[in-house]
Amino acid sequence: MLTTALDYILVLAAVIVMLAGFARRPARVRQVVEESRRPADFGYFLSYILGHGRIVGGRPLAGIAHLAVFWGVGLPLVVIAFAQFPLVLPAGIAGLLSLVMDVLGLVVLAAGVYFLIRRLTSAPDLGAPRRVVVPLLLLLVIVLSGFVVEGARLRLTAAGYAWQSPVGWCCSSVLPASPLLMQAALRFHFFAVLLFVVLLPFTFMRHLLAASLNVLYRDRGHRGALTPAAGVVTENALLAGDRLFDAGQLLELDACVACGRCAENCPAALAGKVLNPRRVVQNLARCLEAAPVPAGGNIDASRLADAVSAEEMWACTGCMACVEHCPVLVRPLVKVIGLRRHEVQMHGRMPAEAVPMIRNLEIYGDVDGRGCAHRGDWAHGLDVPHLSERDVDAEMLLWVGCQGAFHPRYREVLRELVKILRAGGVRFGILGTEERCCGDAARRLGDENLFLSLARENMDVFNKYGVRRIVAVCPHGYNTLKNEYRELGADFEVWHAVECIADLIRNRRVTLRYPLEKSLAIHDPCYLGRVNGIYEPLRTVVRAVPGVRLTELPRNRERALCCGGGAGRMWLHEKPGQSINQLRAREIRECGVEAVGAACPFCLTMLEDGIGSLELESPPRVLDIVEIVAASMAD
Amino acid sequence: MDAGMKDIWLYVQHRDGAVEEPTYGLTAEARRLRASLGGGGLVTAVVLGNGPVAGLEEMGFHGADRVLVVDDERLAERCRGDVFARALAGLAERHGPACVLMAQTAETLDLGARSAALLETAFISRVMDLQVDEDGVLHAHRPVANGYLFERLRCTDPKAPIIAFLPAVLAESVPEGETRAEVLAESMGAVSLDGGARVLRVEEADPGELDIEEADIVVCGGRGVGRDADFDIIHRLARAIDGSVAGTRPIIDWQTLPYERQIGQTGKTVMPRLIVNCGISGANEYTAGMEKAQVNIAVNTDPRARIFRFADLGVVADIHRLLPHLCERLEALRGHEPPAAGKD
Ligand SMILES: Cc1cc2nc3c(=O)[nH]c(=O)nc-3n(C[C@H](O)[C@H](O)[C@H](O)COP(=O)(O)OP(=O)(O)OC[C@H]3O[C@@H](n4cnc5c(N)ncnc54)[C@H](O)[C@@H]3O)c2cc1C
Ligand code: SF4
Ligand code: SF4
Repeated sequence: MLTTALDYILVLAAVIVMLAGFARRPARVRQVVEESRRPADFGYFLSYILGHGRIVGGRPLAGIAHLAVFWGVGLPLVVIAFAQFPLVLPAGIAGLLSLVMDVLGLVVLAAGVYFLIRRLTSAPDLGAPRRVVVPLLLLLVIVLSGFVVEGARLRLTAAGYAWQSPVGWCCSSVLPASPLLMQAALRFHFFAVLLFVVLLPFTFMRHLLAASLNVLYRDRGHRGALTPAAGVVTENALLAGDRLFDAGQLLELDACVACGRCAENCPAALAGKVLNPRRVVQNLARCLEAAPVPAGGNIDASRLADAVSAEEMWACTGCMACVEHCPVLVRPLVKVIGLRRHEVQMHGRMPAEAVPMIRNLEIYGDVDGRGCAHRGDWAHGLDVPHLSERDVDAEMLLWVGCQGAFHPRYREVLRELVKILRAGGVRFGILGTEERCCGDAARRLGDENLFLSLARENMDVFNKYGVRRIVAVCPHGYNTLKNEYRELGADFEVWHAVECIADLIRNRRVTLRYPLEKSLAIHDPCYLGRVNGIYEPLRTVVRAVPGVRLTELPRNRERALCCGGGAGRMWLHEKPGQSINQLRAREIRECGVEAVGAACPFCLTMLEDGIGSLELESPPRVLDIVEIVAASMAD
Repeated sequence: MDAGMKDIWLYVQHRDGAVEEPTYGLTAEARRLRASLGGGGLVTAVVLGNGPVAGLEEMGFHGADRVLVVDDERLAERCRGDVFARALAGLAERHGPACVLMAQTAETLDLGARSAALLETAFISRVMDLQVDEDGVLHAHRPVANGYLFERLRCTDPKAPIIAFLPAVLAESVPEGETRAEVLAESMGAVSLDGGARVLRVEEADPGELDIEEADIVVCGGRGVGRDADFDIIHRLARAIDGSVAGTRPIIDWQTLPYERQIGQTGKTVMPRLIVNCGISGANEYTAGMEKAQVNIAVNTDPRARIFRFADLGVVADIHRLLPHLCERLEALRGHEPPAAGKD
């Protein structure tokens, strides 16, 4: 209990210092609200903080320890605050409260020690800050001194029962009955708390505010949709300007707690590439901290860009694992794409291998440079109607994509899909020569202008034919059409082929008869799974095939390892270090299955190549779900 | 020379007494141009040098009407742009051709620019296409910004402009006619050798080391060849046919070859005149980098390998049994012939 006026002044002073330390935040938050148009989301915030689900998520032990510290500090704080008022509680309840506080103290102590050991034994190089050690020690001091105060008080007054404060009771038995000791311990405890408060904004503990704000003002857009950069989108082009990230992105940088969960799941980091998403975010955050805050709160783009090397930014596969696993809603992937944009749009730098593909997109509108005249060739002899034909009877547009149109293997997959959709009575048409690349690879390689021009061309065609529903086979095209064309005014439903097939099977519009006697594992494509939450339809479909023995890979669903082909990596050379597709191939082999099913042209190529490079006697076969279904279908 | 105004000149590149390939491609361009200019002038090949050059009369088979030869000991050194330019400019001053065509090389870039300066006329480099409009004005197309864009130039200069074509656009010419060209000796006039740069030494690049994007002949090995010592057979074949060595991604992954030698989607795109694919299945990611090769030979044990779809000549055989024999024969052939003519 605070006793003197000086104490109140001290508390006030501590709070003022703390607020001063956080002075930058309100401006940033205001900016987030105004510029990124993100309102506060209190409902989500409460469920996030009270439930702790996202924090416990992928790391139960650390998550539960965090939960313990959160409640173990938060609850006593509330109790102590109330204790400042002359409230009288019934003896039973007061005793119970005392017991709870006592136990919480123990729990915080245990959790604090656990955290301390974790941080001190973790690899120091990856951007995990040691700053966390000071506040942790302080926390332990606060808890321990609290117990001493309690023990000394009990020793002196011997009031209450042992069950009400077991730890205090134990302490009292070893402490001398000294009023001086009690006073000294009390002051010590008090000052430690004040110091903790003062240090909040300057140590790791600032995540209390920064992370909370990030959660409160989270981006409510779809996670699969990149936004058109912090520049100005004009009629035809994006002027990147000198801004690399918008205010919301900067808010995220502050929020990172350097827990490393992103890196733990990042395929590039796992394969030993230079990229480590935690380091990217931490380096950017450090830059941001060091930079003076100019008017408007924007900071020089090149400063931030220099914090991350080209090799790092080009190693990202866009797999979304970092976004999925970050407990405080940071999106390292979006930072990486922002940096690529800066590199490409401002400096015209891009890895040399990707340049021919970009040029093909610019000139021919497809990644292989075959030209749109040939875009419908895959359907030769199948009589698939084009939307441009008069009297075409189509309820859906079949989106083919560059791989479906030109990749030799995927062209076959498309032909099989046509067979399945026809059998299911789906009336569909294609755009044929009027389709262009969806722009996914261009956008994720940082060429935002090219993405916009491709997307606009496609949107014009969609509008021309009044397209209402689309089914896409390539998860990248699916995601781009579904989530990224919205900003260009898209207003249509988009399905993935596997969802469609699952539907047809459920409604018994196609029957699967011929068995596939194989053990088979599903490889979840990132842009279906993590990005769009489509996990079950793949399994439903495969289970419907007679004879298939479905097994799960150790890393599946949210934790599935990327094949290595996203975000334009299909066109980039893999620097020495492990190949990501070989890493995944080894997981598949170790699982001992005879086949692996995917639903993405890039996964198919990547896994096939990865498994091929293992040079096995009898390698597992790589099949697209579409192929599996087509082979099993009753004609 | 009344018809002289319409003569189309082409600059003959020769080396070790023989005419070099791109020259023949120029004759086709020259004939086309003459036709669009009204057909009156003569397609004239110009040879500057010292010592005899073989096959000049035979240039008539490719469409040249006559050959002007300046044989002078001041032209003994290769690559002396200042001396050659004065010789060429003097000749052009005397005859007044409609234009001078060259195949673009390091040498002709130097020669063309200097001659144009002496003649006070235009020099257009990197030309991909040349057309004449109704008014007889030349229009040239050429790539800019690394091939991202193309520009169109109108050449209004009344004097003979000098045009350098990108070698890649010069189609190979097959001898057609039976008429030999008339070879006329010309004099060089007063040109002094003083000053200027001098060539000290010409160093030949080892074809095996040549950048695969530049190479005329590429020998590419795949996983079927094997790694390290097994791959030596590819080097040996490349040496035998003056080819440059390349590999598929597995070869690069094994570090048998460095990354600069990878062909494909994530490597380099090559357009050689000949590519020999050894032990390569022909995955799309590989063929994306070599589809544009002119002549494609594939050797693979698997007759169903996709690579055969691209092949002009496919051999179903084991690399390690076929290639040693082939190399022996090629090396033996080579033993009897001058080195430069060893290509097949
Ligand atoms: C994103 C991505 C990018 C890629 N980029 C490239 C790229 O840029 N370049 C590239 O090359 N690859 C690339 N690949 C790899 C490509 O998909 C293929 O895996 C690779 O090209 C296969 O190489 P290969 O033909 O040498 O090997 P394989 O496919 O294993 O073929 C070996 C062939 O050799 C034959 N063979 C075996 N023994 C013999 C023998 N003794 N004599 C004759 N023939 C024999 C076999 O029949 C077989 O056809 C990429 C893959 C991915 C996923
Ligand atoms: S970005 Fe998120 S997951 Fe990665 S270290 Fe920071 S807080 Fe942890
Ligand atoms: S998107 Fe994937 S590859 Fe890129 S940083 Fe995140 S986890 Fe790593």
